[in-house]
Order: sequence, then structure tokens, then C-alpha cells
Amino acid sequence: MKSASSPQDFRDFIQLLPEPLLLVGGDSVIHAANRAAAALLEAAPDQLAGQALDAVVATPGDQLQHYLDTCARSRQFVVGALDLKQNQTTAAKRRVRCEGAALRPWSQDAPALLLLRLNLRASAGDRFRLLNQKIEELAREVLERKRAEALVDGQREVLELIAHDAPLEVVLERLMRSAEAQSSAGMLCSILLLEPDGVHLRYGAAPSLPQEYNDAIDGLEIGPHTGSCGTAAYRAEPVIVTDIAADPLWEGYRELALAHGLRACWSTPVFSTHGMSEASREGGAPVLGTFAMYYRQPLAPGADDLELIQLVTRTAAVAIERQRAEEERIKLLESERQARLAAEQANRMKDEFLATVSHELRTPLNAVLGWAEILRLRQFDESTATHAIDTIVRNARAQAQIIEDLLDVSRIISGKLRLNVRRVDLPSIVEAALDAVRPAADAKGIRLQVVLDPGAGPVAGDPDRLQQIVWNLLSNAIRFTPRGGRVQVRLQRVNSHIEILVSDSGVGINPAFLPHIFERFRQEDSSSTRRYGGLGLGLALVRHLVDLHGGTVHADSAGEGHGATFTVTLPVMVLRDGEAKPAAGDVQDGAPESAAKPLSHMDQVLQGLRLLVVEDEPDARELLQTLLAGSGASVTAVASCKDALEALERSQQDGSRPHIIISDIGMPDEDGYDLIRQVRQRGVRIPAIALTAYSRSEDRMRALGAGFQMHIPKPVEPSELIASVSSLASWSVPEREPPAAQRL
Amino acid sequence: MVAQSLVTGNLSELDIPLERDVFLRTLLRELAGTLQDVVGLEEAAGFISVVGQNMGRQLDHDYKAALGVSHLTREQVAAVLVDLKQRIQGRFFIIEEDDDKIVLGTTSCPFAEKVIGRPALCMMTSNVFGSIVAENLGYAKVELQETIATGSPGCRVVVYLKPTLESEATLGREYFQGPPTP
Repeated sequence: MKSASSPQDFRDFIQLLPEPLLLVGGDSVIHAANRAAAALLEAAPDQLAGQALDAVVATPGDQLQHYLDTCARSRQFVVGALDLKQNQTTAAKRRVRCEGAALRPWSQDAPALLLLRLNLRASAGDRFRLLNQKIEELAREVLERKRAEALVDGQREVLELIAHDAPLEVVLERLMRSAEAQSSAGMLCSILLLEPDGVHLRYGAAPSLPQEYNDAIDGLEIGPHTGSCGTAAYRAEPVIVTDIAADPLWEGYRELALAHGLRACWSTPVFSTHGMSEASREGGAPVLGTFAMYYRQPLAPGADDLELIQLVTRTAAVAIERQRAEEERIKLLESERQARLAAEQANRMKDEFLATVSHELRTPLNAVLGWAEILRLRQFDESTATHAIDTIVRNARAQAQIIEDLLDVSRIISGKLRLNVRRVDLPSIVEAALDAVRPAADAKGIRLQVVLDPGAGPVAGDPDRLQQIVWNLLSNAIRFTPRGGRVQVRLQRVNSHIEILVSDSGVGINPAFLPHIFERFRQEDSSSTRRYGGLGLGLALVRHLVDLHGGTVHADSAGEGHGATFTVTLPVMVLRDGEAKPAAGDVQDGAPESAAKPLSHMDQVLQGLRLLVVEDEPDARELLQTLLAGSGASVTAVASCKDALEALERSQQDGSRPHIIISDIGMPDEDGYDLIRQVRQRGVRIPAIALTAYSRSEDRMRALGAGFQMHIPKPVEPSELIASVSSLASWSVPEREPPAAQRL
Repeated sequence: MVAQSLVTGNLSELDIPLERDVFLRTLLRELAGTLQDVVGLEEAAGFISVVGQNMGRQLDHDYKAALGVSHLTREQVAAVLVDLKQRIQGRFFIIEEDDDKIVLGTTSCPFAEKVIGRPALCMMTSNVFGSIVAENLGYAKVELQETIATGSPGCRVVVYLKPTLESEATLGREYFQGPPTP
């Protein structure tokens, strides 16, 4: 539209168009209105012509003019909105969309000529509404999308941290911040971790909660009324508290929470991922901790919140479990390492030991072979030959000892070492050990000091092994004491223990080595240049043997160069009242001291007596038989009540009735009481002695009541038994020849 | 430690791309985008035109006041167009200038990368240029021959100073002088 067309042309033109159109001057005077516009403005077209626009439009004047000015500057439609007056008298308004453009611009001669297109179709309003709606929808979508993106990004960050083994605190903190970023209501969240004791919750991560609050809840004990988190962990289900001020669960913690401005708290347990299905949750997937969302105003959760909670708790579970698995793995690795080190150490010690054993076995063997070869090759004078033979014997013995020691250790390890336990008189054991080492001590000019308390004892033990113990300690003492030194042995009773102390003035023991001194294969110096030789088994054997005897051994030393003391303690045997002096045990090297010694003056006291001995235990039976027969009696020994009755029967017939019956009480099938009852029932009035381990006074009374004339408790002194039998015989066997004078 | 820096309150040291220029450019981008999506490119352009016109008038007034003149000559108008763009980091330069038209070009946009995909924002340039030229020289038709917004490496803007055959043949917005200010 180049030429300035006349308004009239335009006026005609707009009449042809159906949309509401106005021709308006830039000075806001209505030039023309078509029928549709007139209808819209509720006026007649010719009424409008010449009117000011603000007569029909309620839009404030300056706004209106501004709009018209803008339209006047542009050939293209400029969109605006006008408020129309309903009719000229009322002030009610309707908003219409208006599009205006300049048909003719301003000039010096005339104002601009504008075409205004008005739009009040239903869809116009709709279009505004639609516009608003669309904008809102779009905004919401954008927000949603951003939230979802943030959520995904946040989760991805957390998972990456987990995958890179970031410390748990870091992971949980990032998770919390990521969750908080999702909320628009100023949400603060926290994770608490359940301790292995299953009772206490400790701080996991809560970067936005006040530190004071976090400190106050750290270590919270779970229970049915302990706020949201404690209760959630206890019940293993979510606990939603929409208003802390009113909820009874928060009673004990209300003030604390309110003081920090916390009004709502939704807590959900973090369940282990092993067994996440609902069914197994019933059975109780373990609770690892709790995830809580706090708000500063009372609030209830929406669907989005529940989704977020699910996501966070699942991610937290993964992180926590991964860290725990990691800790487990490290612990396992460490214990594996320790085990391996221990095994390597043991191996090394065994290797050292083997080397030592070979050396120790070879050394005496060298001497034996060497001297034997020499003897074979040459003739020597007697003293040299004797010396050679002594050397050979000595070394062979030494080697035999080494092998014995090895076998003993092997027996101990495999649990096959048996003790032959009896009552033992320690002084003689110690004496015997001393005798064995005296030559070695003399050879080194070492003084042996002995302090023996004869009242120290008895103990229950194996005399051979006890002697081995003392001998080992003495040998060591002598070996590690230089020429001219001193070794002392002390035997004493201390309360309810017997102590054997072996001390020396020798090289002493390094305090660092002292704790290991009784270990197998351990020597303070196991190098090839070591001075003192030996296998390092002696003390280990001592310790094992002392253990088997129920005792203890320990070593003391003031340090290198200051000698050492070994102390063995053994428990004292419990003596019965009235017991005579204990029998001496067999001693290894001397002639056996037999029980026959005290009886030498009782040799034939039981001459002429016929005795029936009833004892089921073979060794005991043999002993009694030997003892009684050795005193001159004629003994029939049987093993049971039945055999005894048969023997009696036979003796009735052939006239060799026993003069005295000596019977054990405790026998299988029929015991001593049964025997004597049956004997008495048959009217047999042979005197009988009950010889039994049942030794209480009621046993005594029962025996006498059952028909025995005497009751002797086991173990019995042989001389006592002989005397008892003899005494009983003198009262009840008139035809017996009077015995020779007795001296007890 | 990462955790430590998250806990302390000194967020101002974090490396976040946010300051006023970026914020405002982003805001405009978002507005334009929403408008484009909701009402369509043409109408969006239309809305932005109104904005641009108002801004153009204001700038015209500012320059005139600063120069102490009531009216700009063609040379002054061309210089103003270049200068105002320089000031807002759109480095425009004059490619051609004669009685019929002024041709300007640039390789950078004041909106920077935020303009890509937002051709509606070009209406700012069109209207600012158009209204300053029209206000002083009576008429302007602005043709956006090439724009960074639509993917070109640079912008080429032709401002026709009078209706000619050439200007008739092009697509562009026409601007007129407004009423004399009282």
C-alpha cells in the first residue's frame, strides 16, 4: 500500500470483511467501524464514526495511545489487548484481542491511519486461556523434566562414587544433597546407620541438619516410641510423622526437634538388598539404617516423595552393603595374611629344627664311627682302648637319648604319651636324677648343692617321667654353667604344692627370649656356630610332662650372665587319715626296692594256713597270691563269687577246707556281700576278711554285718595284711601250729 | 575433601556458570523459546517486535540526548547502529552504505550462543534498527538476509531507507516515523 489511500476506500473495504474491524486514526478517533465491530461494541456503525476510541474502550488513555503509536510505526500487525466497555453507560468490561497495523503512517499532514482487528470469538478467550494453560503446562513439563534430569544425574553421580569405592560418608552425603535438590519445600534429610548390635543408630550423613541436632541423636537406641527413625528401625517399617508437635512418638525428642525448627519427619528403614521382595521383607530383611526427610513446617508426603524415598533407600542400601563387603574382604585378607605368616614361621622353625637334628645325630655318630674304625684298624694299649670304648658308649647313649626325646615329643604331639601314675616319693626321684648327672657336673667342676625337704611329697605321678623332668633341668643347668660354677636343687613344700627348684650360676637367659623358652624347637641360638648344642626339645618336654602331671613350670633369669632358675610345682596328693608312709616307687638306675624288704622278718608267718582269695582284678589277685604264698600260706585264688563257692565245695569234699577267706567286695555279677551271705547260709563258719576299696564306716559296718570278721581297706600295707590274717587265724584255727615269734 | 567443601558455606567459590549477563541472556532465550513453542514463530516475533520498538525508541532518545541533537543524519544513524551493537557485544560493522540502504554484518550476536534456534530474538535487532532509522529518516525496511539464529556463521542485515523496487522484492518489516513527540 504505497499510496496514501483515502479513508473512504478503506471504509468500503472493511465493510466487506466478516471480522470486527475499525479504522482508527493515530489520534484515536474512530473513522469507521464495520457491522461486526459495531455489533461487538453494541452500537450502530454510524454512531461510532467520529467518536473517540476511549468512548468505547475502557483501557486507560495512555496505554491506549501507546498501543496506537506502536501500531502506527509498523506495517505488520501489532498484537494487543483492549478492554471494551459493555455499553457506554456501564463500566463493565470485556477483554478482546486486538491486532493493529498502519495502513498509512504518520505524516506532517495527517495522523496515521490504523486498521484494528478485534477478536472476541469464543476461541479468542480460549486462545488466551489456552495460551496461559499451554504456558503453565510447558512450565510444568520443563520443571518435571529438569527434576527428572537432576534426579538421574544425582543418582548417577552417587553410583559412580560407589563404583569408585569412595568412602561411605562421602557417598551418603552426596546422596542426601541430591535428594534435597529434588525438593522445593526446603526438605532436609538424613541417614542413620544401625550398629552391629542392632540396637543403636549412629550418624551416617545429614549435611543440612544442624550439627547440634545430629550430635544429640547420634547413638539413639531404637524402640517403639523413639521418634520417627528409632521407631522405624524398631518396627522395620516406615514411620510418617506429619507434625512433630502433636505426635506421641516424638515425646522424648519433641523439644529437641522443635528447638531446631523441625516440624515434620518421615523416616523409612533402609533394608538390605538381599531379599528385597515383599515376602521376604516379612521374614525380616535386615535393617541397615534409616532415611529421614525433615521439613520446617507440618507436611504430609505426596506420591513424588514416596518415589524419591524408594530410590534413595535402595541406593543407600547398595552403598552401605558395598562398604560392609569391602570391610569384610579387608578383614579376611588380613587374617589370611596373618595365618600365612604364622604358617611360614612354623615352617621355618621346622627347617631349622631338622637342620639341628641332623647335626646333633651326626655328631655322636661321628665319634662312634670314628673310634670304632680306629679300633678296628689298630691295636691300642688298654687305657686308650678303654677310653675309646667309653667314648663310643657315651656317644651312643647320647644319641639314644636324642632319639628318645624325639620319640617322646612325637608321642606327646599325637597324644600317645601315657603316664604310669602312682604315689611317688620325690626326694628319691631327685636323688636318682642327681646321680645321673653327677659325672657331667664333676667333669666341669660344677658344685651340686642339694636341699631336700623329706616331708615334701607325696605326689601322684609317673616316677620315670618325673625323673626325666628333673634330669632335663639339671642337664640344662650343668650345660649352661661354665667351669667352676654352681647348680642348686631345692625340693620343698609350699602350701598345697611341692616345688622343685633348679637354679644355676650360668649364662642366664635373655629377657626377650624368656617367654619362648618352653617352645618346641626353640633355641636362643640355633645358628651353626652355637656353643651349647642340643635339640631345643628338653624344655618343651619338661613343660609337656609337667602339664600332664597337673603342675606348672616357669623360668626366671636376671639376664645374660646372671644365671637362671627353673621352678616346677606339682600338686600334693590328698592323703587319707591314718595312712601309713607311702611306698617308694621304682627308681630307674638303682636296684629295685621291692615290697619284700619290710617282710623279711615275716617270712613264714602264715605257714600251714590254707587261704581262699577271691579277687576279680588279675593283677591284684596275683599280688595277693604272691604275697600270701610268700609268707608260707597255701593259697587258692579265684576270680569270682561263683568260682569261690565251687572251690569251697571241692575243698569240703577233699578235706582241704581253707582256714580263712579273703575276699574283695566290688566284683561283677555277685559281689563280696553275696559271697559271704551264701557262705554263711551254707553254715560254713570260716572266718573271712573283706579286703576292699570301699572304706567308709558304713561299708565297714555292712561288711561286718554281712558276715565278715574283718574289714581291711585297700590299698593295704602288705605287712598289715599278713598281720591281720595271722591274727585272725590265731583266734579261729585252733589246730594250727603256733607261728614262730613275730616281730612286727 | 569433597565432603568438607560441600559442608562449608562458601558456595561463592564454586565453579558455577552464573552471572547477570548469562542469566539475562538465558532468560530471554527461554522466554523466546516458550513463546515460539506456544504461539508460533510469527506471533512470537510479533510480541518481541513490540518490545524491540520500545527499546529502539529509548535508545534513539538516549543517543540524541548524548549527542545533544534532536535529529540524526544518515551517517549518524549508521554510526549509532554500529555503536549500540558494539556496546552490547554484537560486533556489527558496515558493509555498504548509500542513500537507499545501509548493509550491516556481524560474526557475533549479543545473545551469543543463546540465540541459536531462537530466530524470534532477531526481531530485537530488526525493531531496534528499524525504529531508530524510521524515527530519524522517516522510513525503514529491515531485511534479515542471514542470521546466526538460523545457523549461518554470521548475520547480514539490510536496512532500506526508502521504498524501492529492491526493497519491495524482499521480505522484511517496515517501520514508520511516529507522531512528533509533544
